[in-house]
Amino acid sequence: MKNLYIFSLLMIPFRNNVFYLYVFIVKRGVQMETLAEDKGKPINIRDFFDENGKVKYTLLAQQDDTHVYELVGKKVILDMLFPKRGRDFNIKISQYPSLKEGETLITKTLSVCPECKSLLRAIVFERDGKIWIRKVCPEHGEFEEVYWGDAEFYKLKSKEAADGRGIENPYVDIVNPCPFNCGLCGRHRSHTALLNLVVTNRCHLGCWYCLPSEEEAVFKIGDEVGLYTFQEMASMFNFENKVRIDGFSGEYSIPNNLYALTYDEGYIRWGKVTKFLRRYHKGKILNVITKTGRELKVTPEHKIFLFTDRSLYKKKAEDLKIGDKIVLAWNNSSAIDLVEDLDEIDILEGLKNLPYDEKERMYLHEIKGLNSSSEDGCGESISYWKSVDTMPLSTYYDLNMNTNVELCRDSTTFRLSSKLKISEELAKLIGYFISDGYYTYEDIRIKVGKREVENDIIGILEKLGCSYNIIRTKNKAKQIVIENRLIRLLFKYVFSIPEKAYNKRLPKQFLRYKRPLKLALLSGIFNGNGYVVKGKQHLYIGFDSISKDLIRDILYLLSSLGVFARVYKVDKRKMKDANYEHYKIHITGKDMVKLVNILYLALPHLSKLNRLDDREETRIFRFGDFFVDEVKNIIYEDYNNYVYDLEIESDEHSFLAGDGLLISNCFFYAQAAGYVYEPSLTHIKFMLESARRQKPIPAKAVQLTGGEPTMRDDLLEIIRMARELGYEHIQLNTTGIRFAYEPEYAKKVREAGVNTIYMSFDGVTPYTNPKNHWEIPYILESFRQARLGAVLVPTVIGNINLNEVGDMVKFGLRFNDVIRGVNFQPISLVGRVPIKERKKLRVTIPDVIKNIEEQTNGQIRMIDWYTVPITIPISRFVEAITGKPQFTISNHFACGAATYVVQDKHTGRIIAIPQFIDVYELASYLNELIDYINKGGIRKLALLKLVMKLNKFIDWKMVPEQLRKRKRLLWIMYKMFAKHDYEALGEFHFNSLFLGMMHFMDRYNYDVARVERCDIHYVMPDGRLVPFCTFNVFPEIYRDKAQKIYGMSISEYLKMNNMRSLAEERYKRNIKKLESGEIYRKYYEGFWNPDSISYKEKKLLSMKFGIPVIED
Amino acid sequence: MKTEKDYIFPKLFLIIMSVYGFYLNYENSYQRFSFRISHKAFSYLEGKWVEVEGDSVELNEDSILFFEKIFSSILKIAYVDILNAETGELNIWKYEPDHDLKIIHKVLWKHLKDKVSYIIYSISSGGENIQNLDDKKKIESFFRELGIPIL
Repeated sequence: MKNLYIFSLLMIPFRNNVFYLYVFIVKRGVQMETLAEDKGKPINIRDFFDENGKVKYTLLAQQDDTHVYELVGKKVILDMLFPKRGRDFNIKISQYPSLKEGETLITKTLSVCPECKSLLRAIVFERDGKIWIRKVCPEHGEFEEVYWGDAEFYKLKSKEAADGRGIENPYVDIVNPCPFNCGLCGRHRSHTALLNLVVTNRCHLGCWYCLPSEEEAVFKIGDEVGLYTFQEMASMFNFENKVRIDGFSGEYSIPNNLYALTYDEGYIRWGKVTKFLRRYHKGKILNVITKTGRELKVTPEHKIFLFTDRSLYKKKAEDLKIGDKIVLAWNNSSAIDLVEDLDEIDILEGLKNLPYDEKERMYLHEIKGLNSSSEDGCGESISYWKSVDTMPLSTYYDLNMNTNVELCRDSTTFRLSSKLKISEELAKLIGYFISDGYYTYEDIRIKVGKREVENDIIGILEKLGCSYNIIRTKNKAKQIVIENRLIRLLFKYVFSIPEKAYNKRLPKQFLRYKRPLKLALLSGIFNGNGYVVKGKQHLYIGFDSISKDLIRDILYLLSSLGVFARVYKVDKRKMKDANYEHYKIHITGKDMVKLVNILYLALPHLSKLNRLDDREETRIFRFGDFFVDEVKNIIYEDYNNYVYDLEIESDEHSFLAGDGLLISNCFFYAQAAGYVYEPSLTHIKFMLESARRQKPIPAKAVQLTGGEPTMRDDLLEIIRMARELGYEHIQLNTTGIRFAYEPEYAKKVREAGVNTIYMSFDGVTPYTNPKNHWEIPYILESFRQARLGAVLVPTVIGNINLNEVGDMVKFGLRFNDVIRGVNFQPISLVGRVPIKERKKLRVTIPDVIKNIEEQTNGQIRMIDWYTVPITIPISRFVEAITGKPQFTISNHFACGAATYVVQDKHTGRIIAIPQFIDVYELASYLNELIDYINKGGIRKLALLKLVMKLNKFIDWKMVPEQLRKRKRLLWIMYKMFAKHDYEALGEFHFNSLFLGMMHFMDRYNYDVARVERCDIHYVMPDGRLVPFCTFNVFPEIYRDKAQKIYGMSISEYLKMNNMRSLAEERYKRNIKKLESGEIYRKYYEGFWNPDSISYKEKKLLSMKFGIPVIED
Repeated sequence: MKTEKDYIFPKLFLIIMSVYGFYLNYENSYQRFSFRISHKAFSYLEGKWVEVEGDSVELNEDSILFFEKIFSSILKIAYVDILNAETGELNIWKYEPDHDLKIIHKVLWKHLKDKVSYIIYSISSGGENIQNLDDKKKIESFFRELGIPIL
């Protein structure tokens, strides 16, 4: 309220109408805060929100008054959910896509950019016999996509287009452009024909992705930041939670304060690790090597981000090919900048790992100020040590002290403060040592080849007060010997620089070093053993090492400074007398210029690095903090140990691992969302009521969907409630798996009120339908016993199951007593998909129809299909006859098509109904009658005219036997027009097989003109209605955003349901048992031979999909 | 307890838009209707409604949203339909209201309905209001009250 008041004061001076706006808002604000009443008790709506604006769902779920849900919904929409320009969407409609040679314009429309989802102008045009959509984003360029696969068919069907009446009571005002104003708003042309209601987001799909124990990632835990192996990190966790996925046992911990680097819209940021998982893996792992020399080891199923066609998408490591474009980080400075705070190190903490005899020989000084409560517990009294002002390090640790003192070893005078300030000189000395130094038993030595470097190191040592010697050996480089055991121990134990050259690394905390220290460290490295190569065609700064780990550290260090480098690996077999592979870092182009400008390079280097102004960009494609690399090699290795994974809080579910490769994080089924969205019964009632409030046609058909709706124990109550609220058609969108095992459940579902099961069915083989292939026969058998009809729903994908569409129709016809229809859904691509992949996957409505024609030997022809609006004249005619608004299916003609087929019982011939009913003539006559009634004609006479003429639209020679007998077809049609009720439609369905097409859009073929006509809507938890393709194409604005606000944390859900893990609910398949049933073979006879592939392959198909396989 | 019977959710007057008047000659065979919209704007000055002139402006995002806000629910056309109209001549005038203002859009239906209707957008001290008049008597009464001849 206070904020609104300030807002009004600011705005009043400008315009009168703004003042009224203020009045309105204040009034609204009062209304929002109104106390509701529940069973006589006052309820303050504010109580249902936490400090982040999230609904306290566990509290809300206890309410049994739908009005409370309505009030909460209003507040959520106004405060958080309603899309806001700039925050949730952008408009970029100034640019017009143009037609190119050989293209013909079909229509203009609006669409969205597949990259940034901004609203764009678009054209729909014809080219090469197909219909395409094209749009141009000022930022991301031009996109075009196949819209309909047959231009002639499109033009023919466009004549069937017609609009519905829309709704009279828009739920929201128009304040944003479509599709950012849902909904429904006054623009919408269709009432809800089918309402989708998500009853749970729990489902049962999932898989493990994993990295081996020695693989690394940058982690931040507490104050510590660095590259840690997964095994190192795992030692900090107990893995107290058990989980079983895909038949594998695993375990995980939920860290409190662990972060990893993740992808955020092209930039790198810290992402909270919400789960740290491990499982045991015995088998192969892959070492993915890229063109720029990066490496990553992963399990074959781990997903890696690829970049093609300006899009990111994920691919399993085992499916990677040489040349695949993968995504790596070149610049992590924005995330690392936040932790660059280290310039002091606690030596005493680092020396804790010293061998005991070394601790005995290490002395502390300046200890007079020391205090210890365990003074009397030690062999020698602390007062003695205080009196001599010195103490062995071993005693210090025994006394468990912590203070700032000075250290020295033996009786030498060289001392270091226990809180050691890391100076730039010390950092540079470390760099020189790492570059070309080594440990001996007593000291450390650095090889020097350049006089300037020698002088620099000597200067640093003198400044530090360290004694040194120089050894000159014939034909070998000079060595500076730092005869200081304390420095040796400091390097080895405190900075953790390993001993051998092949496993040398940078100091553990180097990513946290303040920037000047990083530059000094890098200067030491490049001045020490680095080099500059200058030729006619090339110029670069290089550094070689046999330590792969050191190269990785340097890559990360350079990345933290925003400098890109390539890595080259030289096989030891190509080098004379080499025992190890060699790794070379090369920095070129503008990255080299940047490095030269920030480092303190020695003169011999600088002398070669003149005239750098004209250097070009390094030849890599960069976007934000990332660049695109190519897979160069993939090596399979045997592995037998734990593998690890992270669950990260990020939109892209990703993190950086190995040499900075962007990979997908683990997500397992419902937990992918990180919350459970499962509305309570009262909440569901509120949503169902919300859709029923539509005028003039309240929603009459509802589909209960998920997740997997049958996972809810109270599903029957939900079905009954929908029926009580007036829903005439209730369908359940399910995999059907529960029905395979519980035939009686099918009966219960039917008795509760379900009319149809809308069941996933992607083909007749386990290759095309790993989801429920083995269960389908048992599911259909359960439906038969329960007298429950099913519509099979295949998602058709170009390179997967397009070749089985004919078989799917035949399967439907064979079991037509239980299968009411097959509704094909050409694939809607989720997320960003590169053009090459889209070409393989993309299928449109005409493509499926053509394939059905071919695969049924022309029995179901293309011309037998009609688009959805062809039914509008029937609805309008009934409206005209009854004088009442009628239920109308009025989506855009390009969205869906349908036909009905009947199989002649005698001949077995498949006959599509348009082959014996003249649909166009019938529609045209209906339009004539509508005009007649609208101009004052007698309604009953119009109906009589129709009945008299119905016979003329039927070609009785073509009518199948079962419909010809006693002119049954005529009787069914008469009832449809005269009774025009659900029962009459049902009778029509019972005598035929419905074949449908519904092509849901994605971000590539999105067409606002289609969205405005959509009649398949989701009801949101706040009660708004959102078109299907808007709900799913903009999950960040609609689906996920709302479900998250109304969802509950997984831990809350588990607690409420007395569960340990959501994984407990996962379905496990017993293939052997399912195949052993007679029913299984009977159903697939003629479609699929179960003996044609091995059990092992079947098992793999199931597990690859995400369903684990068990055996008795 | 329920106070809002006509719509479930509060109207979202969150964006302040300028006020526009439109001339649109629209024909779209897909929707199978055509009409012509023309308008006049009146401001309440010194006790009577006086016709006022607007400034001719180009189509922009604000004017598109304003168009959809007042016409889409009634005419069932949105900006995307205008893009695709066979005849889609569109001219826009912008008004900066200092006083009460009415923009009276006359819709001459050339196909489908074959009649005249009026869509009136009003700003007054009571807020904003959109009316759709297609009943002859109500139209006459409206203009009589306004004190101006029927357009």
